[in-house]
Amino acid sequence: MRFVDEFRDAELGRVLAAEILAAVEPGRHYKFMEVCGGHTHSIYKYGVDDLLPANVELVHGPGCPVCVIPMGRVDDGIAIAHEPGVIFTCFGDMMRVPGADGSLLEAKAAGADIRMVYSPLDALRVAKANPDREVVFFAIGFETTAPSTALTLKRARAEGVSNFSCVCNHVTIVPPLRALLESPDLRLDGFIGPGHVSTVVGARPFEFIPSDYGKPVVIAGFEPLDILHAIRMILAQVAEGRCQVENQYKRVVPWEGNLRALEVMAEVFELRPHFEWRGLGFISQSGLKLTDAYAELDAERRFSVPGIRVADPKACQCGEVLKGVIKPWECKVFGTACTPERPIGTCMVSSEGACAAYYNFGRFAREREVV
Amino acid sequence: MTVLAVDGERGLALCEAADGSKESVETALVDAVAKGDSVLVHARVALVRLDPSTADCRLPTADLSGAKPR
Repeated sequence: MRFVDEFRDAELGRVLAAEILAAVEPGRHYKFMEVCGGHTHSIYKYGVDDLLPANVELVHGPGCPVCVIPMGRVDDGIAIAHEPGVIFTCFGDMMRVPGADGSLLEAKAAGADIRMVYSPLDALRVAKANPDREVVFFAIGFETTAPSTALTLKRARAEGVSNFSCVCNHVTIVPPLRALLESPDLRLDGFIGPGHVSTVVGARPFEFIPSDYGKPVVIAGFEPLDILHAIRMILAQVAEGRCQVENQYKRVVPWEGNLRALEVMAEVFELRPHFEWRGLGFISQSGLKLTDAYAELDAERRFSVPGIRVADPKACQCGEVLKGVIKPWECKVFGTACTPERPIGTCMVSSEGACAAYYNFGRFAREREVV
Repeated sequence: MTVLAVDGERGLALCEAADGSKESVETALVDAVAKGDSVLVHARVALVRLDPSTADCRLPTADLSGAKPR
């Protein structure tokens, strides 16, 4: 397929790996964070990690949309799903995320009408087909998914679909990155910037990373050659003493982002004063809610929700994994009590979660072999 | 995904994924698309129309010293 196959060429991958090997300084340890869960998935699916020198370490950031949803928000969703007459809709991954008292999938098994959709537009279609029921969409995701929700809400309002509403859990990528950079736990040498989020927000929002924290950022695509190329570009910045935002994913990411998408988001959403992230706690101005103009489509105003903060299970170390402080296999329950079939933590649920990526692609542990 | 057909009036495009699956995609957030275009789609909404004619679509390895031009 065009734009894809040429970025999976094994021979060119080896060329890039050799260039990376030549670019690293022996005796120096490099630690780069890939922000996006899609990158984490690709790195382990294609074995990118195995092509890197032993002194180049990749740590996994908080960019998996499902992984950062706290248990309390899942409980709020389940409470709405149990309301009489409600059809509750969400993405498939979200159904398996554990709340304090089970998941949406378990609530469905207990009788709630919960349906998986691929898009909020599908949920709106369900609402139009069921005018006598209340249809609620549980919206999650970063700036990549938020435009789709915003477009759907605009359409619902324009078409007067009064039985549709949305629980908005959309989050923004910059505040958690700033929180991570402020954290004393983590020493990073650079970032592989999030490719899909950047299609919407562009490259400019990441300029604070080099300017305020002195770390290079290279926005990257999701094919194996994209990721290797981005690592080589970061290493070049480090070697040359440069520190800036570069865009490796130019074929998809415009520097200024998608202005139409940003416009529709600005019309429908506004920042919450603070929002809870799984494992990261409350982060100021990191979550989105519906503006007053869209209040009638806000499920949190339409229904009563518990809104209770629930602590993560003690055994689960998703927080440390999301902050890149530990590797998934260092968690006590990884691959034993916590598996993709029976996840305890969110990082084991989504295919973009670091724990699921390690588990599904056989990375159960241990140190990497030296290339 | 590749655009197979366009319904300009409703702002929709029928698109095909690499695995052959087809879906109807909203095109309100991108410039006008035409049959044969490639688009990046997320949750049934096109976020980017890819332009193969621009230099930005060249292989990332084009500037590698050891790589052969393709």
